[in-house]
Amino acid sequence: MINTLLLVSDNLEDHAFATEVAKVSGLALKAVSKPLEAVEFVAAHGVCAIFYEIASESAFREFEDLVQEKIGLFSDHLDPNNVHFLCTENLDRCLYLLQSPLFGNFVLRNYGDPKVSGAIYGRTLRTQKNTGKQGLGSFLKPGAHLQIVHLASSLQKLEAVEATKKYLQAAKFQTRTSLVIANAVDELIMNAIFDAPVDDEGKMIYNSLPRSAELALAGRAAVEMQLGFDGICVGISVTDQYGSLDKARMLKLVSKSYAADDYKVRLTTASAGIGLATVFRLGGSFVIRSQAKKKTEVTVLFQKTANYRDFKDQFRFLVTQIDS
Amino acid sequence: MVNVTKEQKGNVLFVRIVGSIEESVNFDQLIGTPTAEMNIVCKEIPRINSVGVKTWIKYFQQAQQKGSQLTFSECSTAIVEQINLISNFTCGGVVESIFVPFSCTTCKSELAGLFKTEDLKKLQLKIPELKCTKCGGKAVFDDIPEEYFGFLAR
Repeated sequence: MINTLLLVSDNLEDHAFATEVAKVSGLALKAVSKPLEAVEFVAAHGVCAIFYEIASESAFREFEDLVQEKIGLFSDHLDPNNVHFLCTENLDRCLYLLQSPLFGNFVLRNYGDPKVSGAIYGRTLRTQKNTGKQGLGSFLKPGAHLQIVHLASSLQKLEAVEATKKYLQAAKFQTRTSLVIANAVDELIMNAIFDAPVDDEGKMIYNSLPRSAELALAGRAAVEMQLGFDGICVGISVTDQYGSLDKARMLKLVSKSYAADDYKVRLTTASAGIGLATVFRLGGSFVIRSQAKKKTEVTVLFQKTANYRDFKDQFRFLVTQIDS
Repeated sequence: MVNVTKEQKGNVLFVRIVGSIEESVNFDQLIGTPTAEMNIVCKEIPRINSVGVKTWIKYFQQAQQKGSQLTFSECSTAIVEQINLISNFTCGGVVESIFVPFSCTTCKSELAGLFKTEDLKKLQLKIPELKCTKCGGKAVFDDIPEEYFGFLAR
C-alpha cells in the first residue's frame, strides 16, 4: 500500500482536490475521517502521502499525540516529507505546525476549482516523489515552453528580472501581477547567489556582502534559473549547487509576518530576510527541494488569473523535500 | 535605476522618487540629509525588493529619529503593499494619499485612482466604481479590501 495517498478529512472539497491529486500523481486514494483510523492505517501499511485536514491547533495536537503513541514522531513509517497539512488559515496563523517534527508540507485550502488546483498539486507531488527528476518542466503541464538562464555574474540578476517582466507581459499577465512575479525572481536569485554559498563548516560565505556586489557565478557558485508558463501556471525555478538549505530557517523566513511586529533592520547581515515571506503572502506557492551539499532547487508557482484580487487570493502551498 | 527630484515648497521638501528600489539605491546619496519636513512622492515606484525595503526603512527611520516629519503621498500599489505588510514601513510618517487599483470589467484594463487616505476612511472599504478611461466600461476595485486598506485601521 506504499503507493497510497491517504486523505484524512470528510470535507467534500478536500475529497475532490485529493481525487485529482491522486489521479495526476498516479497514487491510489484512500479516505478516512478519523485520526485514529489514519494513524492505524499508516502503522499497518505505510503511505506515500498523507493529506491531513487541520481545523484547529487542538485537532493537530490530537493527531500528533496519536502518531507519537502508535507510530513514533521520528519513525521511518512517517517521513515528514510525506505529510501534507490542509489548512484554512494562512501559514503565519499556524505556526504550531512549523514547530512540529511532523511538518513537511502546507496547503492553503483555497482550492478555487479543485480539479485545477488538484492537477497543479498532483504534478508537484509526483515531482516531489521522484527525487531524481529535477527542473521546472515537471511542475507544469506537458509542452510548457521553458527558458533556461545560466547566470554568469551576480550583476545579471536585474537583467533576469527585467526579462521575466517582459516575458509575462508578452503572455498577457497584468502589469501588477508581473511585477510581483518579477520580484519573486529577484528574491530567489539573490538568495541563491548570496545566501546559499557556505564553507566546509556550513558557514555562509557571502551573507554580509552588499547585494550590489559583483560575483562571478562559475563552478560551484553557478546559479541557474528556469522560467516557464503552461497557460495556467507560471513557474520559476532557481538552483544553486550548495544544498545548504536550513529547513527551520527557511520556514521561519517564509512564515514570518511583519504586519504586527516591527521589521528590525539588522546591520550585521546584508540580506533583508523578508523577501520569501512577501512572495508567499502575495500569492506564490513554494516547492523547496534540497539535497545536502549537492543542490537546492527553489520553485515558485503562480496561477494566471483574470484580475489581481484573484491572483492574491489564489490556491497556494509550501512543499519541502529535504534530503540529508 | 532610480532618479530623485527634490523641490522645496515653503517648509516642506518634496522628494519625488522614480524607479524600482533595489540594492543599488543609496538614499543618503540620492536624497541627502533629511530636512525637518519631507513629503515623499511615491507615484512612480513600480517595484521594491527586500533589500530596497531594508534601505528604505534604514533611511527614513534615521530621518524620523533626527526629528523629520515624514509624509508619504501618491503611494503606488507596490508601496501600499509594503505599508500593509510591514508595520514600520512608514517609520512614523503619515500616509497622505494612495493609488487604488481598478480593473475594467469590459476591456480588462488596469487603472489606478488617487485617493486621500482621509477620504478612504470615510468610505469604510466601499470603493466606488470608476468609468474605464479606455472603453468607458465599469471599472471595479481590484484587490482584497481588508488587505489593501488594512493600514488605515492601524
